[in-house]
Amino acid sequence: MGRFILTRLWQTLITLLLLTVLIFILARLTGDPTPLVMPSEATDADRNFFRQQYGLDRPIHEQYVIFLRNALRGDFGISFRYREPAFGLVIAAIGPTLQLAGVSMLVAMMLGLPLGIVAALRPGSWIAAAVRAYASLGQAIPTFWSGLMLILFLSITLPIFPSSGYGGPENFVLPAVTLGFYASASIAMLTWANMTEALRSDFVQMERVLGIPPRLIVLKHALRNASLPIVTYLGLQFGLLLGGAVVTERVFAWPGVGQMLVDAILNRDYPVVQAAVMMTAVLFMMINLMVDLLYAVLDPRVSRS
Amino acid sequence: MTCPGVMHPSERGKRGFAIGRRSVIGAGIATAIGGTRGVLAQGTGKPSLTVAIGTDATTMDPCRIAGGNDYFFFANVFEGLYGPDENGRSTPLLAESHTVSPDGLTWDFTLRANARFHNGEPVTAEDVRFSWQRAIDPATRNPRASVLVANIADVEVLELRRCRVKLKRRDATFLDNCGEYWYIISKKHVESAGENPFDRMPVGTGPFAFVERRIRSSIKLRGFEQHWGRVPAFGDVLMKIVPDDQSRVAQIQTGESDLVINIPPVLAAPLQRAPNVQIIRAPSFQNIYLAINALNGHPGLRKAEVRRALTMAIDRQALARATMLGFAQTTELLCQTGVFGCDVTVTPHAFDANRARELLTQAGFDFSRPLRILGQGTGRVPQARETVQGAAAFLNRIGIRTEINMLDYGAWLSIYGGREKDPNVDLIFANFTDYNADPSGRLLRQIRSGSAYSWYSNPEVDAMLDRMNDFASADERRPFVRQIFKRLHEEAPLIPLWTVDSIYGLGRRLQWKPTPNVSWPVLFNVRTA
Repeated sequence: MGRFILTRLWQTLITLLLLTVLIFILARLTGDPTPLVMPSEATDADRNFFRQQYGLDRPIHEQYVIFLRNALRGDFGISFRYREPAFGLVIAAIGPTLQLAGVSMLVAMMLGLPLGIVAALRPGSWIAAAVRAYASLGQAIPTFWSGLMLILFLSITLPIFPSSGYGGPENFVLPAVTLGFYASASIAMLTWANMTEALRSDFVQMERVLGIPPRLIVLKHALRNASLPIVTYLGLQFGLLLGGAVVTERVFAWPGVGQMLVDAILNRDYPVVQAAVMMTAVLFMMINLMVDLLYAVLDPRVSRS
Repeated sequence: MTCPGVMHPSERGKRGFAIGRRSVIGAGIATAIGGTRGVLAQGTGKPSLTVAIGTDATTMDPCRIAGGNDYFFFANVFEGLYGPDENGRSTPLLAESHTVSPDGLTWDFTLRANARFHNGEPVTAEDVRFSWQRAIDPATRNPRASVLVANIADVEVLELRRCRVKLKRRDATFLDNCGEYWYIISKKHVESAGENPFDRMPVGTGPFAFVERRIRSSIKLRGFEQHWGRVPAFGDVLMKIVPDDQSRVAQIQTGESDLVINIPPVLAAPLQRAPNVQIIRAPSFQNIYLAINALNGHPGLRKAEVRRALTMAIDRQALARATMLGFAQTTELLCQTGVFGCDVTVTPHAFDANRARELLTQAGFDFSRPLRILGQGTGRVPQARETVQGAAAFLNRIGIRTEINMLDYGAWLSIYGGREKDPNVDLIFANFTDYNADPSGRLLRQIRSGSAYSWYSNPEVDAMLDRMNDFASADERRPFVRQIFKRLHEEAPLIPLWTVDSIYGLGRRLQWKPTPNVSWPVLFNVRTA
């Protein structure tokens, strides 16, 4: 097990190093940030000073070495736009993102897992048909539309929840349901398919013959066997929510890292782009690592191999 | 007058149910999630005001302002010696009065006796001098120093509340620009607060004092009760950053915000029927036009008669109606009502497709070569994409082929404001926001040869522009500026389309008139109905 963790950590570090090169180059491909950062009244001297101040006038390889050296110390530079340390800005944004991703995943699991299990237990029934319809809708409806519809019905028509903003628990409801509904559709379908397969397997048939209570068979044995792909998907989905909930963050004015990253890209705020991508990448890799470790717990063959 | 969880007593009867239900549900799930939303203190005993804006300020330091959106904050927290009054005219703010020497180079200001900074310190002539020194200090790197403060040779302290400003050369825009380009700051505060004093605690003299900022989330202000004259009717003001247009509009529909800024025309039209919302519109200083590459684009564009014909080929009224739904004022000149010197009578380049085609043919325009139009992607300017497509359709109608290239704002700006003008671009959809009613900002940056946004060059026009501010009095200057606008109308270096209306959503229980000639909301005059 120890060797398995060490190997995965080593692979993670190599991936991170490659990512620093990639994100450094990609950020610069968007163009010169000076026209976006400096007002139209700025003189050429002001613009040149800006480039010097942020080291943008140096050769690209020098800029990369400085970036890497500073990044290892946790210093991603000063945001061109906000004149604040980029890392601090990202740290401030990662909190709301993690909170929203966590609550959304909770909503997704609470909806998706039971629906998938029930559909697998009642093949061909109206319940299975309803779950299929739910999953199709969940996948087909884009989050910006479902978010706006929730605002229309639950904020404007029925003034129950705040339409946008970050802060109190009530602010979580609409964005978490928006994201959770979307993710729950896939979880339901995945759970359904894997549970169906598990329920048809020989060991489940044997357990039935042996008279083991059905609830025990479903929840302890079949679900555990069906859980590997579901856990993988949950890990991926959580990772995607960390950096990819841009639309939902925008619709609900959620000051998270996804919206920050898009703004930073549009404003060519390299330090924030680099810090945000690195931070989400580290989190994503940590989640992947945890998923791998969970694999090993759920299926001992993984750690042995 | 709402802020989350807080309601002005006068509103409880009407909206109590809504807020109450939100609070109950919020409390129900509070333990599950553990939120941290605070409740605004009612420090002044006055009602609170919540304003939804689309973009966060980039800085809290008046010497590092990067663009118009920053003024949502600065116009309410800082003041200059002069600034716009409620009618948008330049009026004494921190100065009580001034005298100017006959040569226009020496300006003596007397400061208001009761002007104070938010930290309670009185505003003195020494603060005025310090504000200038900091604004031009190379270490400050004020990117806008070139407009006003760099032309100040010296600021002398005459008495505690009297100072003398000496200019290097005459500047007819001096008083107009005092509002946005030279905010007065506290010397004591800056010297005691250490590095980046305004990032920690911005201290100004405006009607609202800074309380707290959450980057990309909100800015909290509080009415400044010791203000020399413009004491707001509200205590706490919460500026919420809500980037999405639809969500911002929802803020006013639900009553979560009392005032919503920058509503796009397509959302404003249906909102006019909402029972609890007033739509307020005011002419903004956001000018929309098609810049013409008269330098190195399509060879025909170097001729003034071709540029005039292109202007005639586009039905600006129809285009404005179709794309802006009436929320825009079309313009004939390179200025609009309210701009100094814009009161000029000219023969309009009115829409006449046949005449335009005829003029182009007479001028030997090469119809075989398409006009390449650089467009701006959606986001910054309402209906940008539709405007370009509509303008291109009008040009197509008279036989001009067009190729449209839509780019995101950053890429667009790199080309439009680039030092080297791209020969592969013939027309550029562009927007330019003025800071005040003086025309020199727009003309020097859009028209003057070699300036960032100029795609046109004419030594005679340049000579006129260089002289434009060299007047001691407005009366002497006005006819000269009119002459410039007339000349530019003949030259047609760009196709003026319209000035976008600023569209605001305001709660029914409030009264507010946006300040004319100012493109950002000035909040001190918001009142309860």
